[in-house]
Amino acid sequence: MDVELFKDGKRLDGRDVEDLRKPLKLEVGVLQKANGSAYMEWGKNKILAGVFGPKEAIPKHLANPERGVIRCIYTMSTFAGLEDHGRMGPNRRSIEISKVMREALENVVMLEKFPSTIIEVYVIVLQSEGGTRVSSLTAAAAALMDAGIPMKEPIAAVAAGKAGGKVILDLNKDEDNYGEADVPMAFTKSGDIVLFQMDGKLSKEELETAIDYGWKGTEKLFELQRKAFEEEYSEPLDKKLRMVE
Amino acid sequence: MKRIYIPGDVIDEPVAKSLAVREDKGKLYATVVGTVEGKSFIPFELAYIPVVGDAIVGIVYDKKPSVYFVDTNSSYTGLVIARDLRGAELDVGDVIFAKVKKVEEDSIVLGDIKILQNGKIMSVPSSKIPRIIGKGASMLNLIKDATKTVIYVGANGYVWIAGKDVGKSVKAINAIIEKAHLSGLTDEIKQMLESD
Repeated sequence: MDVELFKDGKRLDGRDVEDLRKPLKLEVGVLQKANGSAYMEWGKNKILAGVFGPKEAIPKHLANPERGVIRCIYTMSTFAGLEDHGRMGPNRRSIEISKVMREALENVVMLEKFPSTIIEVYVIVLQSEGGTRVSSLTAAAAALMDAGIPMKEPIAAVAAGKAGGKVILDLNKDEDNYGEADVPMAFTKSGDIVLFQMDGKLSKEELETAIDYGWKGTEKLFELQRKAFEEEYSEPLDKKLRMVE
Repeated sequence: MKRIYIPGDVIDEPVAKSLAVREDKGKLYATVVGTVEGKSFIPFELAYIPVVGDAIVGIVYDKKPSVYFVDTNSSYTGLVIARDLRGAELDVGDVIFAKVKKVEEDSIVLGDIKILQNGKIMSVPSSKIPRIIGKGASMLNLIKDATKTVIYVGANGYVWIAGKDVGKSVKAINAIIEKAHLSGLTDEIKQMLESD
């Protein structure tokens, strides 16, 4: 299908090629019972992430006596998208995203400090508008920091790609569906790439531009993560009413 | 406002290395969210890892002829060897105050057992325990005196409280947790305990 993705040099939602979607909001410590949590709004994406642990690895065969393991589960809620998603259980797509998120997080979480334990990261997409895997990963990293789980450095993720013949940053749903390429990527703060996938075709030069845009985009997300914690700790915490047995 | 560090931030002050501070090529980096106070890095939230000598509060959840299993609010199972009790017996549900004698792969051996009776247990983040105790136990004594309670604080984040005004001390401890990262804490808690 031929869809016009650019109008007067601007994208359909009025952005330039290098702009992130708005609103871009991140809040940490939003859940009472989770050790760490984060809520993110990114464009029309609404993501909730909760972290538990480190705790005893169950079932026991998962336990690794040398380092901890991460269990990451990404789910899309039944009411997340335009189409009917049906039930919320695991499917091909969510299993894939859970796997790539886990592998990205394993690069920065200091798992060697927690042998024989498991750290659980749960992400639910409440509303989706394309690019949920990258926003989920950005929120999950913030939730891990909120849980006080030692990490070498933060990670943040963003998608770049190509639509209407131009390399663009942070694709929305239309640009993802009708564009030429989608490249979700995640960076650590020191610039290592910990997630990189590509759907579609890009030339070498276009890919280099996409990575360049992606890095600039993640720098804004690192600032967002920092701001979320500065806000959280600038006033009394209201999140936790302690349980009493 | 104090500067807040997040994982990966370089710490310029000469703080001691710990789980929350890692060294790489001669530079110190924070690994959790926290702030620097004097010569130490104070994490706001940090997973508990037992160290030999820690005093913890635990709950017995299973027993076998020669060993008791204790919930230690961490990924480690607490073990109490029955012969260490010198004839005394524990029951499932008993709360104990104990010292960590040995840390193994996924369990910790406990000794110097003291059984705590007729109290309440509260679960707090283990990173706030130093604040609840205060300098030279000043904060803890303040709460104990004002509410006429007996309080045992475990390094693992379990706090056991018994006595006259348990509700008030729970309130005070909750206030400490909520405001541990802000300044002027002691005065505020003092005021809170003196009012009503």
